[in-house]
Formats: sequence, C-alpha cells, structure tokens
Amino acid sequence: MTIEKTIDGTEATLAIEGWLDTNAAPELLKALDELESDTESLVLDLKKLEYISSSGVRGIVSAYKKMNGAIKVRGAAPGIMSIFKATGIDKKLSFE
Amino acid sequence: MGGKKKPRISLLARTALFFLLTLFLSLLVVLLFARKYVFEDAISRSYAISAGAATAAMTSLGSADGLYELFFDEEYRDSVHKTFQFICKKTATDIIYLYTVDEDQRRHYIVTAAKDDEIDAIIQDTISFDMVDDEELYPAEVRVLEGRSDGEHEFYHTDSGYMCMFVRPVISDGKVIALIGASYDADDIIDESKKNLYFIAGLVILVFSIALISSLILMRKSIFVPVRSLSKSMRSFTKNIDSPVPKRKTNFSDEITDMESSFYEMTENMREYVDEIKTLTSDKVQVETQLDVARRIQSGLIPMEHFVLGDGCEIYGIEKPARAVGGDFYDIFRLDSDRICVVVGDISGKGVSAAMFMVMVKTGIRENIKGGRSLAETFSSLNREICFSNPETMFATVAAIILDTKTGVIKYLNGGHELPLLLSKDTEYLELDAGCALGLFDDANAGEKEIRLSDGEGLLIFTDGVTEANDAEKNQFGKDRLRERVRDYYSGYGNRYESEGLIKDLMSGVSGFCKDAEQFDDITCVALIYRDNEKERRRLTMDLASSLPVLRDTIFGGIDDEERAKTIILVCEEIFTNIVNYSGAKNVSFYFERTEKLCAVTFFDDGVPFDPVTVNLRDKAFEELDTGGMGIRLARMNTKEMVYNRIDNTNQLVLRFETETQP
Repeated sequence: MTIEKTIDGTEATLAIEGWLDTNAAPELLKALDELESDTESLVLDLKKLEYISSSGVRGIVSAYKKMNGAIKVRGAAPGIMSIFKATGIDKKLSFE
Repeated sequence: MGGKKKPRISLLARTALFFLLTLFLSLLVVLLFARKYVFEDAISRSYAISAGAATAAMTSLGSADGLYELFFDEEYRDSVHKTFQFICKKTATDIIYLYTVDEDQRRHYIVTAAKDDEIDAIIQDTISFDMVDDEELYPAEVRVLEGRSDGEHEFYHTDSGYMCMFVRPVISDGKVIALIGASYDADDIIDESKKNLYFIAGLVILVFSIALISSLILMRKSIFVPVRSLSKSMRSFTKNIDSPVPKRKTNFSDEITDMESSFYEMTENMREYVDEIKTLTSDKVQVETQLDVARRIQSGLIPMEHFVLGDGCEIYGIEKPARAVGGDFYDIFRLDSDRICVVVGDISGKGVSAAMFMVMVKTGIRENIKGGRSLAETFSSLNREICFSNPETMFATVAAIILDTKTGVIKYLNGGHELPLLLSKDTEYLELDAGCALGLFDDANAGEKEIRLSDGEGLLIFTDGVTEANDAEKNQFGKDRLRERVRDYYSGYGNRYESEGLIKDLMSGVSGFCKDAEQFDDITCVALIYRDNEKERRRLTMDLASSLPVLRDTIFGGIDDEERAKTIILVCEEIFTNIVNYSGAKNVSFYFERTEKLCAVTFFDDGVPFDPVTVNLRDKAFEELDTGGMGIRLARMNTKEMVYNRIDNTNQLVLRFETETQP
C-alpha cells in the first residue's frame, strides 16, 4: 500500500493506493500523526484503494476522530463502499 | 346460446289465434251456405203463399163465364172484393187483384183487395175497377199471357220491400181472358230468415267460444302452467343445483306429468352425482394436501441436495423422488469431530406408508448410531424392533458408512442394498456380503467391511433407481454403464473425483439414457470423497506480515472472480487476525479446497476455545468502532456457512463460500 499526501493550504489529501489490510493500517495511522498541525480538513482519496479490512476501517474512524469529523471520502469503489455500509461508517462519512 | 333473439309468442296466444281463425272460417262457410239455403226457403215459402192465394181467388170466382158479370154487377164485384179480402187475411197475402191486359199491354183492373184495411182503402182509389195501369208488365205476366196456364211466379223489389207475386190466367174457350195476381210482401219472411241465419251464426260463435275458452282453460291448467313452472324450475336448477324443484300433485298422469317426473328424477340423480363428485373432489383434495404435507415433511428430513465440504471430506447427495412422496432416503450427519456418517436406504413400496416407514428407519439408524452403537449393533437392534411389529411387512435395504476423517478409514455396512462403487483409480464395485434387508427376518445379519481410503478416494452409494432407470425400450441403465460413466468422469476430470461434479455428471448420463421415458423409481445417490486435509494443511506463522500474503495468494490462486476472492480474503484476514491477536495460539494451519460452485477454508488453531459462530457481538457506537469486534461481524456477514468444532484442544472453523459473486 502507498499513501500519497498533498497539501493545499489547510486542507490535506491522502491518496491511498492498494491494499489497506491489517498490515497496512499502521501506515495510515502514522500518516495521520504526521499531518501538519494547521490542517483543518482532510480528504481521503480512495480511487485507487483495492481492498480494505476492518483494520483499515478502524484507521478511517481514527482519522474521523482526529479531524473532529472534518473529513471527506473521495472515489470509493463499490466493493469498498459495501464494507463501509456493512460496518455502518457510511452514515458518518461524507462522500464527494 | 347466441345469434338473434327469437320473437316470443306464447303457446297459449298461438292456440287462441288458431281457434279464432277456425271460427272465422266456419262463420264464413255458415254465412255463405246457410244464407243461400235460408233465402231459398223464404222465397219458396213466399211463392207457396202467393200461389195459394191466387188459386183460392181463382176458385172463388167459379167458372170463367161468370167473369163478364163483374163488369156490370157492382154488387157482385163487392162480394168478390170481400172474398178476396177474406182470402188475403186467411193466407196472409197482401194484395189480390183481378185484371185484364189490352193490346197495348196495359192492365185494366176489375177487382182488387188488400189484407190491410187502410191499404185496401188506398188501392180502391188507385187500382180498382175501371182503372188502368200502364206500368210495364212483369216477365211472369207476359209468360202467362203467352199461354202458361198453370201460373207464374215473380219476385220483385219495390219501394216497400221485396214482393212475391203469383199470376194465374183466367181461361175461357182456350183464351186468356183475365189474370189473377196475388202479391205477398216477402220482407217479413226474409226478416225471419235473417233472424234464423243470425241465430245459427250466433250459435256457432257461442259453441266455438265455449270450446275455445274451455279448451284454453284446460290446456292452461294441464299444459301451459305446468310447462312454464317446469321451465322455471329447470332454469333455477341450472343456476343453482340446490334450488328446490316443486312436485305437482295430479289425479291422473299424462304426457306432461311424465315429463315432470322425468325431470324430477333427473334433478335427484344430478344432485346425487354432484354430491358424489363433491365428496370425491374433497377427498382427493384432502389426500393431495396430506401428500403435500408428507412431501414437505419428507423434504425437510431428506434434502433434495446436501453438500459437505471442508471437514476432511466432501459429500454430495441428491434425491429425486419418482412420486410426490418417495421411498428412498439418505442421511449425512457428523458423529463427532472426526467421524461423519452417511446412510442411504430404499424402502419397499411407495407412497405415504413407505414414507412413514422410511422416517422410522432413518431416525432409528441416526439415533442408534448417535447413541454410540456400532453399525452392526444398530442394524440388528433396529431389525429386531421392526420385525417385532411390522403389520405391513415392509422392509428397507440400507447402506451405512462411517468415515474417520483423520485416518480415512471407512466402516461400511450393507443391509441388502446395492453394492457401492469404490471411487479409486480403478473404479470397481466394493466386494462384500450384501447382507439382508431390514425388516425381513429378526435374526438377519448385514454385510460389513472396513477399508482405508487414500486422499481423493471415495464411495458412490446409490439406490436401484439409478441402475434400473430405463429408456423407452425398457433397457436398464445398469451397473456396467454406471461404472463406465464414473470412469470416464474420473479420467476426463484430470484423474480427480469431486462429489458434486461426479453426481451431476452421472445424473445427466442417466437422464440422457432415459430420454423421455417416465421415471418410475426414486433415484438417490451420495458420493463421499475423502480429503486428507492433514496432508494438504498449510501452517501459518503467527506473524501477520508474512502470513496474510500466504492466505491472499492461496485464495487468489483458487478463485477466479476477483471481487469474490477479495471477500473471501477479507473473511480469512479477519478470522486469522482474531486468532493471532486474541487466542494465544501457538500453531495455526489452514486448508483450502474448492469444487465448481463452492469452496471452503478451514482454520485449525490450538488457542483458547472461541466459537465465532455463536459469540455474542454487541452493537457498537461509531466512536467505539476503532476498538475491535467489527472483524467477526464482517466475517459472518460474508460467509455462506460457518461451522465451528473444538476437537482435541483445537479450534476447527470451516468457512464455506460460493465461488462466484451471486447477482
């Protein structure tokens, strides 16, 4: 899995590519820790995300908590969306 | 009924019309013929009267010679006048006159007299002695003057009505010297005749009317009313078969009462038939409902299809009943962590009784074996039990096997059943004593054998419905054809047996052989393949970083559908992560296998007992989702079937999936 970070003013974008499984989840948590302190909103670009397990879902929940809800999800594939729905986090996330 | 509606004319009206027409014709006939007769009669009577009067007047005159005296003797004329008047009154003749006719055809009156005194007075002034009348002579007068000595009739019409005149000649020396005429007013007699005619006509009308009315009354009572009420009954009967059909009381029988009683009889018969049909139908419906219930109960007991995979073996069984309720059965159940039991049986007879017997045999075997009895003990105990009370003398052939999935050892018991096909590289029928069917003799024994299967080998157990399936020419599928079909399957499938594929191939072989011939016996078939998962198990290290890719690669290698593979990988990851994080296990291994439609992943771990199938998962709030528990939920949601067993201090979890994403 790779995470690519771009900064636009106070908005940070994390583009996650590949498999976000138990092994990869810590990388996401690390990327969240490394966000600049002035970051006000976060965009998770999931266009190239191929797989997510519950560890990955937990990582997204952590991101949501860290940003106090100022988080947007972009371009989740149907397979990923069905897992969001199965876990119930689709109700809290805003998708664009 | 279709087409145009016919105009309705009641039979009663038609009969009345016919009567009136007949009446009219009769009246016409009466009036035409009777009129002729009646008038002729009147005329001849008038003639007789006038002729009588003329003759009487003639006679009263005496000889013709005395006639001359009348011209001179007034007294004599008065006496003749009186005589004539007397004759008039006596004969009812109106006028009598005596006169001569000169060369100019003029009448010279001598004596005239009228019956009526007033008229007499008038005619004394108009046509009495010495008076001349030059009115044209009537033909009768002319004929008399020409020499008709016995007198002539004349019937003529005047202002006062019809007159009948009789003229006689007074002859002296062969010469007509004078004429005597008598006129009779025929109006009275014609009136009388008319009255008679009208009376006859009235009588005819009266008789006809009475006949018409009385026959109409009679017909109405005995034909029209009964027919109308009969047709009304018929109509209401056809609308509602239970509507009452009234029976008319009559003193005698006729064609109508015959018809009524036939109809009454018919309605009674029809009601009986309908009742009979109703009873039959409701009986049939009841039987069918019961059969349907039996079928549903049976299909609950015997699944049409059953598939076991991932427990050290794969088993696939099917049952195709020939009728609503079959006599074949099969049963697959786990005895303990290592042993799986398969039973196949065929009950003699068919229908509900066979099905009930089947249930007894099936549950009897299952309960005995589950209760710890060996196959042989089970057979003899159940056999004794059945023989003790078997009023229908039913029996069942049974085949029962117990497979030890750890060792591949099979214990096989045969109670009069078709011998199974050993699914090995040689594919031959198992050789053993066939034994005796359950329920025949209380001291019967079953054949027994113990064999050891290698990985990938198995048994095909079937009922005679397979080998005795026949085509339209009554050729049987047979054991040889069965074996060849299985051999072809084995070689055509890369020298590998797979239970579901094998049986489906065999079934299509059987139905291809039978074509359109009706299936007359139940077909039941179970294939059991031993999979030595000990041999194929793969160890996983407790390190997620190295183990998760192994799982992922195994599943990607076995499943073509990428989305499906990802879902299976997700479930495996969740289960494995859970084992690593929470079970405290030191050894974890897994085993993957698949057939065409299904695949199974089995995990073995020596950690603390944990059953993810039944563990109670608390619903968590969103904020708690990052704390765990979500994984098991995801795993459950995405698995077709999850089976947990704790065997020898080992958690064994079988996860079954479909190999393709279901639409």
